[in-house]
Amino acid sequence: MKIAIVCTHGGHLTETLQLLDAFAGYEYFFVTHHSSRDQDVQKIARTYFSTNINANPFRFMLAFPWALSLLLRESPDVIFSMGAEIALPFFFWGKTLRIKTVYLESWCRVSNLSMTGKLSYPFVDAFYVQWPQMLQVCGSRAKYAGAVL
Amino acid sequence: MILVTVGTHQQPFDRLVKAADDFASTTDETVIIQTGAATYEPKYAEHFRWASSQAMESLTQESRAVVTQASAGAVLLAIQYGKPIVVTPRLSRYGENFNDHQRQLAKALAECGQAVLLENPTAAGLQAALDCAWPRIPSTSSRDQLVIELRSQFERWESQARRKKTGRGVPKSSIS
Repeated sequence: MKIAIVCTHGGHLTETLQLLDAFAGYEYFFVTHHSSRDQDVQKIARTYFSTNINANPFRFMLAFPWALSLLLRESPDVIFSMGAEIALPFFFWGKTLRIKTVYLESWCRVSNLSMTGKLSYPFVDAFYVQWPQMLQVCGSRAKYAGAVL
Repeated sequence: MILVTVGTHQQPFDRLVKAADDFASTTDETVIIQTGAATYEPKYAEHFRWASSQAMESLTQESRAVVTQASAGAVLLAIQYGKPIVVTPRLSRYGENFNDHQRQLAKALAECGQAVLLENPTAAGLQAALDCAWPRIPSTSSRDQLVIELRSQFERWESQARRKKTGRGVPKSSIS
């Protein structure tokens, strides 16, 4: 099974790397933005770098055809993401192409969902939060199964 | 050595960087500041903008305590190495972040005793916070549980996909 691990740099990437054991034994690749930590991910697995969307609507729209092209080329079975907005084009095409999608809200979100979380919640196949009190905020589809710490 | 870190976020966190630099001018202890996108240039503390993960890990290990924005990266590293943590959330009203979600994590960490919360960083505030920040023993059991859950989910999907393929390949005559 092949897994696409999609995340922005910074804290999202750090949290994702804490969970690498979850992907052990599977083929996986990263999708992220360029940062001072490029080599950290490249030495682990093949990595694709997207434009840093950074809340720019134009770059956000451009990410959609880029994501589609990448998903058609790689054909992953699962898309895993902790955000941020780079997750959305991948989840959108993932649903269209019947790829399983998993969203894990950041450990930093203790009392409300991020925008990416809110937009992903209705249609991802599995939705996790990292604080039990978040279950009261989300709908019944959300699960709490632990945290990166 | 006190390590101060503001992460890789593209907005400056001058409030914390300046407070840390002011603190550095009042102490003989080495203060190292990772300044990121800050526009303020420290005069007293050692500083750099960006560093590799290995370098940050090494500095965290060397430090006596870590002062950080309320973001997963530095906090997790400090907790892993059992360092006392002072956490200052970035706030949108100062142009430090797009929203105030860092306050949630900062407060949650303070409530469970993992960090000391310093909302308005000053040299004196930093000194007081560092004086009452204590190391915690890190635990990996929650992370292990999450890893197990994710792997279980992946395995369920893998079985479903296999069953679908097998189901399509079975000739009608063999179905009883």
